[in-house]
Amino acid sequence: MIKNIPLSALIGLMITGVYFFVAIFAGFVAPYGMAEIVGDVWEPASAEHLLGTDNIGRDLLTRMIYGGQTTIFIATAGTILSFVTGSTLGFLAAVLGGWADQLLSRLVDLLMAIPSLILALVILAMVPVTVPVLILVMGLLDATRVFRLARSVAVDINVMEYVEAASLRGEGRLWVIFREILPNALSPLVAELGLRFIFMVLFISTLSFLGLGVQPPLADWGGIVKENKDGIIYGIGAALYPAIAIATLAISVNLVADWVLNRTTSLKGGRG
Amino acid sequence: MHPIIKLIAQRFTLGILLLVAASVLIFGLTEALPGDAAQAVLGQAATPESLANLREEMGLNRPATTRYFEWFGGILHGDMGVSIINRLDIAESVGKRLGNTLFLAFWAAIVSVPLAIFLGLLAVRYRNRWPDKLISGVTLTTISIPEFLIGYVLVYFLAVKLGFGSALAMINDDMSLWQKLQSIVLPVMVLTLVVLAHMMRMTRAAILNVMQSAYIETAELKGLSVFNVIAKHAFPNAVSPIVNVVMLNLAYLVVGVVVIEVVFVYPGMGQFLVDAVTKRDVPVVLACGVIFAAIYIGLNMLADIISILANPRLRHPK
Amino acid sequence: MTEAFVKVRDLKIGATVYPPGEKPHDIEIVHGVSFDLQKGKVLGLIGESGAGKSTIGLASMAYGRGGVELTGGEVWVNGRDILKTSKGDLRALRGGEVTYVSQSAAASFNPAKQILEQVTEAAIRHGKFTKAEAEARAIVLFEKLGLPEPERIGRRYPHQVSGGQLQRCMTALALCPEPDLVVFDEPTTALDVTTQIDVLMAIKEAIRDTGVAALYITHDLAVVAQVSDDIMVLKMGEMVEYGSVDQIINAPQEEYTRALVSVRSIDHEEKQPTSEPVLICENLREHNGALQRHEV
Repeated sequence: MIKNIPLSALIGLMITGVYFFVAIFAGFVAPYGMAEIVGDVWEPASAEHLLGTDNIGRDLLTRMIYGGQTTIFIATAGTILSFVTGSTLGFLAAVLGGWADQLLSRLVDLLMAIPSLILALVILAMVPVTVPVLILVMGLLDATRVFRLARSVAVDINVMEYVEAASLRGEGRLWVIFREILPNALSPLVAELGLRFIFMVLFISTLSFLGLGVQPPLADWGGIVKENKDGIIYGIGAALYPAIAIATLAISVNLVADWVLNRTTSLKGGRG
Repeated sequence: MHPIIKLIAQRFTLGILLLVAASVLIFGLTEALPGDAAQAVLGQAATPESLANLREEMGLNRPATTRYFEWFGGILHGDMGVSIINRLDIAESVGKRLGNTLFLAFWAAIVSVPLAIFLGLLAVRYRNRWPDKLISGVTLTTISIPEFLIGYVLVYFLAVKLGFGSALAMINDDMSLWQKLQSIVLPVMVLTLVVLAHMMRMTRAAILNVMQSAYIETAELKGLSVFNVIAKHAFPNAVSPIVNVVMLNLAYLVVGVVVIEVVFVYPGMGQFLVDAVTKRDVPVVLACGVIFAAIYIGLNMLADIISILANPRLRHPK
Repeated sequence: MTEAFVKVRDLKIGATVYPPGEKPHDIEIVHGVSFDLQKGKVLGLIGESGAGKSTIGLASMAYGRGGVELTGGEVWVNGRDILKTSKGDLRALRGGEVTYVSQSAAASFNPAKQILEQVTEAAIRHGKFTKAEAEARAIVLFEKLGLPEPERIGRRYPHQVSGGQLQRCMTALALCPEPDLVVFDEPTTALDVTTQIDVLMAIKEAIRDTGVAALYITHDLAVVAQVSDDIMVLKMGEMVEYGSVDQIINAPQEEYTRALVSVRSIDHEEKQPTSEPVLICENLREHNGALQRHEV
């Protein structure tokens, strides 16, 4: 079974795995403390500081590792929230139908008619900017997309036919859900999970860069760019490392999501 | 009345309704969430009495619906209120900045749209061969990196290392058009790259869809020249989906502009909005939020309408 | 004996397959087929799906659909081997000397242009008629093919007319440039049964009237018997039997042909009903929308 995984997906899985491992065990992996000042401002890369130091003399590799922990943690939490909320409401809307479905769908349409960034900015102008708030805002805003997908998957005629065929065979409702609906619905949803995660990473990094995300001294990749951006003009590339980190993580997750999607395109939601 | 007029009128009405609903949502968010304008002004120095007094003074104690209509009505008349931070008239500040933002967005669109269509045609012509795969690979990488980082990457390698373009994009009324264009070279490049990545996949898909249609085969079997097949048969059918793609991505462009303006410290609406959010300047946030929402909704609606107009089945109903 | 207008000798056609999980490789899908076609005659190509009929039909225009390649043999049309002619000459051939009627006219018409424009396009492009002449000819063809309002139907768009009418329009399109050969690729398969008969009759008359040579491709034996002078039975890219309509239908020589022909009269075993009914329906009511089914 493992042999059937194409090379690209395997590389994607490995790299994603490494990132998550480092994020979880940041405390053990990082060479220095998160806020520890260990050297001069913007020292170039050396044996003690593999990526050099940042704008106030902290080890950049350590900052990147802790930054990864924060970014990945927030992105994961946001994705889970968005998925749980979106899927539940999506399935509910499909099953209940009628005015409940209309109400939810119109509300989602309205939310999606305004760019997420703008809505997020408006909200963040009013509330204190803390990590739980960020997770809540990003998660709920993104739940709209998951809602649409979950609803369309649940309403898909094919799914209904499996259900009907199964009940004509005399199978119980619960059995039908687990053995017929879920295996087919899972693939497009799991692939979407990956894409939502990437979006979260990009979103939180952008918010932090604008100063409206993770607040210092907590580190996250967007924040690291903000802290070090003034060095760019002097030819100091410290602010660019997050680019490499985000890009590799995003591409890896993309490769895995592509593989999952290609395994079944039988339902709407597959890229086909 | 031609049914297509009815369809367009419907879309238009829907767009307006959506706009109003969006304004209610945005206003509602500023009401429902803890923290208000009075809090923002007083900041740390707020005591319950001073807050109460300021609220009375600012009229914040009146019912939300009243204030919404007052605010919305004001916007329709061009009055967006006054910034609570520096007491400047918002409409005036917005006016200039909106012009700047649209200037930037316009030039980014002029460059990226023809490029996206050209690359889409290229990708279809050499489908699954190396030009197609190369374009796919580059676009995949580009959408995996947030816009601000692409901005700094370009600044680092082009502006700093090669001396091409500038890290700060300043424009003001004293500059000539040529000087302004020189100033925004890098931001336009960044925006183009970002939007291109999204647009490319869609133009490629739209063109491929048309080229694989049965009527294209019929045209070939009629012995028509390649030029004729593309110009007379493919193109008229590709216009609608491509225009749709372009308009949707222009809407996306408007949002990308916000971040890019911060990167290049460009005096536009995006920079204005972000500053206001940081300082909790609620009236400014409201005004900018609504304007961005309006542009976004407007472009999406236009995409819908053009799509309808270009569809031969709708233009000539049974 | 008159020189055959179309001579196909040992035609071989190949394609590349992409089986999942394996490397793509080339296979041969038509293994050396030969036939002759005289002017004014109709050759029916019959076989199951995948037998290669459409592929051979398109090969007579030196066209391979979807990456299919004409790998060997000769196809002589009007005195030259079209497998060896230049692209430019091929373009002159297609739409001018040899025309094509596809299985789905609905998909084959450009949705953005009027029917008349598309019907006359090839004739005008190949310099056979002026615009006025081509349009007049098209209207005459519309009438011959039994289309309603022949003077006005051309101004409509493809989605404004029915499937059967479009199939006839496509036939008019194929006949308008006064071609020497028309390839009919299952023209009635996508239609419902009653429309099928009407369109088939219209095509048959048009062929008789204009005296073109025709390749008629179908999987339906009843249809091919109506329309053709000769029949070639195909299976898996190979010719099974080739002869006149009379001979194939009434005196088939190959096992496969016999099986095809004998389907027309299936042997039926009458079963005697048993005494107990298996299913009783009384007072059955069904509603749509309210989802109430009462079964007794």
